[in-house]
Amino acid sequence: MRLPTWEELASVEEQLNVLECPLDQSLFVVGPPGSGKTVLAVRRAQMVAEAQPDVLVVTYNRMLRRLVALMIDGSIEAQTMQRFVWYDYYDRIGEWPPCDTRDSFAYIWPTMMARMKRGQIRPNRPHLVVDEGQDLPPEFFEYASRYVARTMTVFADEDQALKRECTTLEQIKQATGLDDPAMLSQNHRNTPEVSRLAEHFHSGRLPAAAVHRPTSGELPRLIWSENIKSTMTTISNWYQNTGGSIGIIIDRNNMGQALRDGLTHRLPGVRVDIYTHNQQNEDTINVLKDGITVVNKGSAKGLEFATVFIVELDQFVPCTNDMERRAMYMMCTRARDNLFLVYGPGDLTTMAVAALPGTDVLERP
Amino acid sequence: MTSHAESPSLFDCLKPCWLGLSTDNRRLFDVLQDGWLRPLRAGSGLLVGVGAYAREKDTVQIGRIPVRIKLNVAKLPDLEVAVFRRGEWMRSTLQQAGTSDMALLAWPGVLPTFAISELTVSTEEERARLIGLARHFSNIKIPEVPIVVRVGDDEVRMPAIAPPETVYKLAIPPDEDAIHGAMNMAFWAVPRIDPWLAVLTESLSSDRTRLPELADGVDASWWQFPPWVQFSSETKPADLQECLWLAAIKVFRAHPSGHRVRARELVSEITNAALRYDSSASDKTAAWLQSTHRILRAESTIEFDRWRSCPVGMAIQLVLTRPEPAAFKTWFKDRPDLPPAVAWSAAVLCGLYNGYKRLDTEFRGEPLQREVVAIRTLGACSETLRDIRWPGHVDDKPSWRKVDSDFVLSWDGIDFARKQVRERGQWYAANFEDMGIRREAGTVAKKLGWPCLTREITLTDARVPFSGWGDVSVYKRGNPKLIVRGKSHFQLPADAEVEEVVNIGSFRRLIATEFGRVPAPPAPQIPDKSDEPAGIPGLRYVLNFLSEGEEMEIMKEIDKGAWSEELQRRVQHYGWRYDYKARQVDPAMRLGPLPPWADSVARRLVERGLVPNLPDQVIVNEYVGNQGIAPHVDSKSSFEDGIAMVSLLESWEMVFRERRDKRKQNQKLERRSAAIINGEARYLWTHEIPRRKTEPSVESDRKKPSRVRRERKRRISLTFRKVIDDRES
Repeated sequence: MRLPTWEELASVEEQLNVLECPLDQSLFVVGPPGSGKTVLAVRRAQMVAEAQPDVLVVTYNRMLRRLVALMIDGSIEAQTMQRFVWYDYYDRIGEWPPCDTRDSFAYIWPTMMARMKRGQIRPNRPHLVVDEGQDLPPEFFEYASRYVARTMTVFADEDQALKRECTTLEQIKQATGLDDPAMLSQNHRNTPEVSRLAEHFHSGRLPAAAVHRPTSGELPRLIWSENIKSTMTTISNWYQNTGGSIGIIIDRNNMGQALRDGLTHRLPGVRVDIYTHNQQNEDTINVLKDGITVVNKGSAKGLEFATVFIVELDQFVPCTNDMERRAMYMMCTRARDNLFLVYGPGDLTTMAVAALPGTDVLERP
Repeated sequence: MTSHAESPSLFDCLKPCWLGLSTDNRRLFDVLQDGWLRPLRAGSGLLVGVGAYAREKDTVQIGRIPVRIKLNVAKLPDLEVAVFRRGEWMRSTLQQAGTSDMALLAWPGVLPTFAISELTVSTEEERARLIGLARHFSNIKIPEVPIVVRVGDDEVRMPAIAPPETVYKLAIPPDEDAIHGAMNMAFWAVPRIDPWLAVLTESLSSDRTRLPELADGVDASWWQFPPWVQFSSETKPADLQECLWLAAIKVFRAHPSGHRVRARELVSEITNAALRYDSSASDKTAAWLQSTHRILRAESTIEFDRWRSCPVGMAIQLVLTRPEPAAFKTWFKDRPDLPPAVAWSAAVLCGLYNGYKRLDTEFRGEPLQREVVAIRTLGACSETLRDIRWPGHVDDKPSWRKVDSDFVLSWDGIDFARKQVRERGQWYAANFEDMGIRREAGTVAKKLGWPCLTREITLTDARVPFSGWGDVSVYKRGNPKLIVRGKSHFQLPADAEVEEVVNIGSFRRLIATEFGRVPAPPAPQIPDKSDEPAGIPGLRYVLNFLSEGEEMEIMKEIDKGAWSEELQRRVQHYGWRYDYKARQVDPAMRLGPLPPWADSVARRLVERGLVPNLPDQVIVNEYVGNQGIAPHVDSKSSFEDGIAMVSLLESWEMVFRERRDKRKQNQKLERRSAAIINGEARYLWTHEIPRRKTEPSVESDRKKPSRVRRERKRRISLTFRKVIDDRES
């Protein structure tokens, strides 16, 4: 995992304050996408683990769990909430947790809490770190603070909730007794150039986070590609020249498979993976290792790459509703340093061209 | 002050020889990133405590970790300082001030991080947090000094009175960070091959007299302009490579790290700067500019196999495509075939562009390297700073040497870095006398298409007819040659041996310079018997092959035999007669079986595995006084491989010469010893007994030739050979 230099963070007061927070204190942190929550969560877990074993990191998303596990290099336990509760309850009580019969992971929390209380269960871990807190049910926070760990560090982003029934910050506070959250407000992931293109598609309730990174001098580029072969040539040239991690975002999985097969053939010895949410193959992919990861638009959330190619742009623009705009925003913000929008062989429609920003934001062919 | 400087005394032990600063973790990280503890306000002195901690700020902010830094006075130059004692500032020197206790001192400039000798925090939790925080950053490493947990009461307060104006001696020049970065990357990435270490160390010495020659020796003439040296604007680069190199240094240095410029703009700037050096190269620079733009647009990839057309241009491309040090490093993993000149030049430019501040800790070397390079960078940046005397650092030229399988770099008498020799370095230093290594060198050269292979035709006792209109002559002196002017056709005999051979000189140069992934050389064929002298592959040497009694018996038999007087020296032939004029065994002259004494020696040679076939021919040579035998290779057509020479009566030296490389080695043939030549020693080396009157009398030692010589009297040599008998086949 790429570490920042001290110079990069020395002036980022909000991140340093989180990093410097005493390890025996509970902490609640709220911030927008790209503000570095996951990395801060991993760091905090690692620093606590230096002194105390049995630290646990809990996430909602499976890919994020995998990412966290890769970052901490197996030295600390990382679990999705669903799986953690399933086994934790069993270990403590001796039976599987009660669930709604229609959905094996829809826990019946009041029954579980009552059972834990009757069993006089006490917290058994020194510190619990939660990422994506907004996506976990409020009852989990109650369960965690009463029976898992007295000290908790929670990261959340209300604006980024995946589902309607997300947990509000107030609910988290009530369930855990945590203080008011420390606020992160800056985007540390994207270059200003990438962020400006992404903002063109932004439609959230809150404004996009201000970019903190210095300019890279490299504008996102629109590329016309004659066919899939020339797309692969561009991508493999880029990889051979710059190395690092490349994400290819596609609309149709068969296109993704064709790109994966072609690039594997062109770049022997280089990691080329395809990840789609329904394949559930996240544990076989090391997204932190240099190489190429092909993802469909539904599976890109939470990931980031040094360079992103959004292939099949014709399928994504023009955006006709907020959901499509949000998707474009999310895909663009996966790119840390460089972003390419690829279309072809046909021209973009006039509507699509009009939906793209000007040449001061997006370099045209 | 000097009276107690020699050895530690009670006085020394009492002396608080440390400076202290009480600050917080953020300031500590600033310092560790930079390599220097700078005054909070540029231009002012740095206030530190003597034997106590000077507190920089009155309050420590919540969440931050209060850290007390201790610095070792013995690591610092003895500069003029101001000391605050008994309510007033007084002028002093560091060494004098260092003896006072609980005082404040105004240091005239920056303090180096390598002088940090201890860190103190107040609680275990703070200690864990400090170490954990440092791990979060790629360029921060807590020095390997004790981190003490103790609540502090040994702080001194800043006085209300400002210190007197002092000459601000230790100011960091603006170029320092770039040069510091370049030097560290130079040490990190130096090709681990002898001639490159020579270029590196010479480039860092003050006179650099041999640098142009050394740089040319590795096809990197631009290295006569190291980035850490300021060259005047009148510097005249000799070719496009030198132009691009000087231009790249100028442009990368002018763009301090952090805010990046568009790579394409950097390319244009470098092109323009290069053209200012030499406007006539506009076509070539334009071509480079074009190809670099194509690479940056991912329209093409870097053409590694065409590196010789523009090595510096390629080095710049490597930096522009992966500018951050950690990303740049992946070039070495992705392209293990990089030509050393390109890889190293690029790494140094990368260090120059990023500066020391942005270098990951792994590029910064061990603590000793940090110390040496920090001091030497200052010296490279300014004359005034070069004159400052740092304890333990005499201005000495850096040097390198090989210890076991490592290169050891040394400066100021301090071994500051150790680098394991890698494949190319192993090849460069390989023993090419070893047949296995020579053969593998040929395979490697062929696979990589390196131009160092020649065809060698071996003819034995042949007459070669030729035709055509060419003029054929033979040049015999110096490096002998067969010269053909025009076109001629040589009718070689069918049994002419044609072999592809590696020119070792060219191969070694290519090892040091050429593109290609080089596998490790094969392990040298370790002599399985102690009787194989180093240096002449295929020579085996057995002391006391005959006992004293056997020697006496054999001599009796020989002296009874009939001597042939046809040569200057007397000889006896057994088994077969050798025709010296035809230089072959006369097939008609089979003399019969060997006499019993010779037969038993011949059998012993086979039984002990010294020769493969039972010898059937023996020549007894008698050497008297200054008699010798000219350099020769025993007839290849007459005798099998594996020839044994047994010496009697006296110990004389035999001289071996490799025919191609003109290497020469002496081998003493002790009385009653056997020397056996096989393979290379038999076919590729000549051997001779020099014509001279005396022999070194003591066991000869190549490093220390003995001056004591003894007069030669009489030596008998028995040569055991197996005749190639055509009639049998």
